[in-house]
Amino acid sequence: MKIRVIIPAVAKHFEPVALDYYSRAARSDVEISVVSLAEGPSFVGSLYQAALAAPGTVSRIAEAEREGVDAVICDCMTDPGVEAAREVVSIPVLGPAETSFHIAAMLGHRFSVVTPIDSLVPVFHHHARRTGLQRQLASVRGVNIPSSELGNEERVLQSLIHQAATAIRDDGAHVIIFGSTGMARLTASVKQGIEREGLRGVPVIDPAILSLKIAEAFVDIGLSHSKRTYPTPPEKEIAGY
Amino acid sequence: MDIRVIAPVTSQECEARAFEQYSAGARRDTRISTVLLERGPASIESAYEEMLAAPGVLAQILEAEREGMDAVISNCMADPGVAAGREIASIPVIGPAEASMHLAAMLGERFSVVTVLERLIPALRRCAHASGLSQQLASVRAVNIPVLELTDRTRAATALVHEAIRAVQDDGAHVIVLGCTGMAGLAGAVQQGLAQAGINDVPVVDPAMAALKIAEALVDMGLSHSKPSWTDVGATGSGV
Repeated sequence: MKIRVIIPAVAKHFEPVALDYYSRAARSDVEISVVSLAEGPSFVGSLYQAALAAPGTVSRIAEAEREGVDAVICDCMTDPGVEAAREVVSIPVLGPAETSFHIAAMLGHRFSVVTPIDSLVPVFHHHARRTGLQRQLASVRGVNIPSSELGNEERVLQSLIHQAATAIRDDGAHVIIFGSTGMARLTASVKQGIEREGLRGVPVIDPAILSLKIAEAFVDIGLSHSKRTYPTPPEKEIAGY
Repeated sequence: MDIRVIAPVTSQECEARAFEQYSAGARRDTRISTVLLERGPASIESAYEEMLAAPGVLAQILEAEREGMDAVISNCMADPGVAAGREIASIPVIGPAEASMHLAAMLGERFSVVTVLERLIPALRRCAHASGLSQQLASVRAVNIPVLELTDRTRAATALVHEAIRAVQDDGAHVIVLGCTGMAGLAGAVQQGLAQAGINDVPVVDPAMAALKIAEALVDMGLSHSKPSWTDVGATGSGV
């Protein structure tokens, strides 16, 4: 099967990184392709940037369907354009935030999101309400590191481990969702870090790979989104698009 | 990977059908094995029967983990023994009701479950509440056919289509979940029946396939249930 990963930002340099990351986790019968946007923000860390990324993302998703792709993943925790895209295509469109919230709710009674991108903290509260899973959300924690200093990976990792451990100890989290797709490669290190602190048996979810696995699952059983929830938009002229 | 499907009943026919359906839906690298219970009900249509099935399911979950299985599925929409099983196993223990309701909630705004008997409606509503999906549940409907009579596939499919249409038209369902694992394999027929009634925009979720695919996904990722949610109790007690 063919799965397309859309990077909802002008970030061509990130395409090979994402291709490598998703391909490693994909089943042998799954072919991954990655595209980014020609126009839009260079990075999505807010609802504002997500709104600006959405038109290009939806157009990339429509293109994927035309090219015979079986499912698409919108590679960002703001799930930009995901709901709009489901109105214009019939293949499954996976949003990593929505997907990880549902699977986290299956894996434990309460989950927390720990994100390296502080500006996304309110966005995760928004997702909890959108998915109806706000009662299962124990907390959302950021790293308290300015975005200009996110390149210091060791510092980011130590803060993520500290915040995950605090979410478990103080907020009652039983499952942790890693709150970024772009830095999801740190998921295993966060898991090891909390285990070193004696916190065992708490699943830590990589939202990117989880979306891939659920995309594979949907394609396997031939399921896609309900067109009653996401009906095809009325035909009309839309200036500029 | 190795996935063990527990038919939480004593009916050999249920086990044989589960083996056939799970094997058909499994990936090429997934090996399905099935077991049934020695003691317990022939089918599960009440909280009482679910309770009596649970001890046998728990013993089979322990056995599955001992034998090196990667995940285990309790193949019934009552999810018998699933929560308790997570306390004694470290491999994923999947219940078709919970798995299918979460997949349905991902696929559309509101879902309806169409199950066998009216008496099971409250239990399925409680499962939606327990999964945190009360707001997404449009309705639970019943076809009034007992589990062991689902062998008449034509009758079952006709009744399911009838109730699914009402769920869509009257209850506002955007996704249909088949509410009994004995209905596994009928999703295609229900989808077709809906299409014949002009309803082409509502996915139909087969709970057995939902459970299987979630199991495969979790094993792929090395994920299992949270131990703080289902703390290890150590499996002791006579008969276990």
